[in-house]
Amino acid sequence: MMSRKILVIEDNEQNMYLMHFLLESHGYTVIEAENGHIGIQKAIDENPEIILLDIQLPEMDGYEIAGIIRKTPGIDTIPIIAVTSYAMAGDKERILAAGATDYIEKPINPATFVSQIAPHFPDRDQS
Amino acid sequence: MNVLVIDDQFINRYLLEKLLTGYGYSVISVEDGVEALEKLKTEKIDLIISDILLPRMDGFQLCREVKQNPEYNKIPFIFYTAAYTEQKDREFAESLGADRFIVKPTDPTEFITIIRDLVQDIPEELSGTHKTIILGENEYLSEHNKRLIHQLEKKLTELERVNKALRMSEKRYKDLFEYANDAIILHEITPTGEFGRILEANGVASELLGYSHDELLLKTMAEIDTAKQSAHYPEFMSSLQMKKNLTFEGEHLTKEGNVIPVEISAHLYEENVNRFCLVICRDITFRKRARGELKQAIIQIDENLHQIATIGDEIRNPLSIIMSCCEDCENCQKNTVLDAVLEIDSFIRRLDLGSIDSEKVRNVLLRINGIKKYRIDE
Repeated sequence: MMSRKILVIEDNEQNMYLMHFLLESHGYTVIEAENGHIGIQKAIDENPEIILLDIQLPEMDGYEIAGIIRKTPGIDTIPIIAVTSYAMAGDKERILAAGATDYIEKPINPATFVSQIAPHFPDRDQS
Repeated sequence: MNVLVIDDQFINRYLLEKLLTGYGYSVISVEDGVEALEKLKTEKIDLIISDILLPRMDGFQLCREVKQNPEYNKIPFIFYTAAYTEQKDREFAESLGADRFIVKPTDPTEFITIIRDLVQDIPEELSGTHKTIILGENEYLSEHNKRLIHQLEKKLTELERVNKALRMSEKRYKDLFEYANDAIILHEITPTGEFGRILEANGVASELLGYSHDELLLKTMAEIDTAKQSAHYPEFMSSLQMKKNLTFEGEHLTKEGNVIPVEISAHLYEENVNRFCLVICRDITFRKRARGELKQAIIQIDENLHQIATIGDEIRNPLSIIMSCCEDCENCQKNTVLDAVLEIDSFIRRLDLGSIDSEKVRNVLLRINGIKKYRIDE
């Protein structure tokens, strides 16, 4: 059976490494994207089951990316989980209004990270 | 019964005519003594009611003429005056043979009663001659002059008082105009509806625009408005015609060619067929500048907020890595490192709280100043 695909849009290399490591060790397939343009393209090409989206990104920020994904046919229903610093989490409503399904606060806690994502898979029984 | 009314004021003649005809008298009215004598020659007159202060021949002269003329001296003569009200005037009138002396205004019913009493008397008794002291020419002239001069003095004093009041009130309006804090300009609206010449301007206007008062009166509105503003004249005019008032932020052009931002309040008014516009302009250079500075400050706050958020994010990224390394490590220092990570995170959390407060301050500033757009790109 094919392992589940998660697209991670994150510009910080160390953070990408950490999330990649944690997700892969739980058996997921990780697709990396370092910015919004690449991320949206990869979402269309790879059709991941979940998108992890950093909010603090250069050029196009997370709010904008979430908005574009929600308006792009074919990828508009993929759950988006925003990864954000606390001040940004204060903007929880803004994040959700932009189209995110949920959000995870930074710093990422390795012990709980994967379990925060798991409930958002579209259909858990098929894993 | 014919009543001859002599009064130079149309309204007084009109009132007497209405009153007397209402009681069944027929009325002939004239404006002065000369006309009255003409009428006496051609009409049968039963009663004379005369004002005293009249052009050409006054009431006193007329009374003397009438009472010294055997043809007319039986006609009852009533003085009806508002100006000659003193006892001396009354005595002089009586000495001329006047039958009654009534001071204006008198209650109409009372007035009619006096007339009725007078004309119901047997003609022989009311010739007034029992009171008449036929004065010699010199005596008459001297007394008449005294009465006239006295009256003239009263009139002059009254005139002086009215003039003084007028000057006072004019000065008050002038002060209001000159000492206003705003520039005030009165300009004409041409018959074709264009903004025309400046007719009046106060000192503040001169100061604001850099022209002397006389220079301003040679200008048209288009010469003190920027081209950008005068391009909107047709719109201004139609708004003014519709609402009479118009308030907007505009620009004036000074003599030196500087553009001054102003808040303009214009009011259209009409006098006969002429139309004018009263314009009150407030210099809002300072207000505009303050607003610009406020926007700059808000942009700076935004920039700082962004920096704090970015730095927080950048510090938290390695904290995640450190935490994950500790997870797999059996080193006895593990907990010490994790505590240090949490402490660093709590510092960033304090920065975050500060950001949230700054954001609130920014939003309040935007709201109370009514600013909706402030970014350079917006």
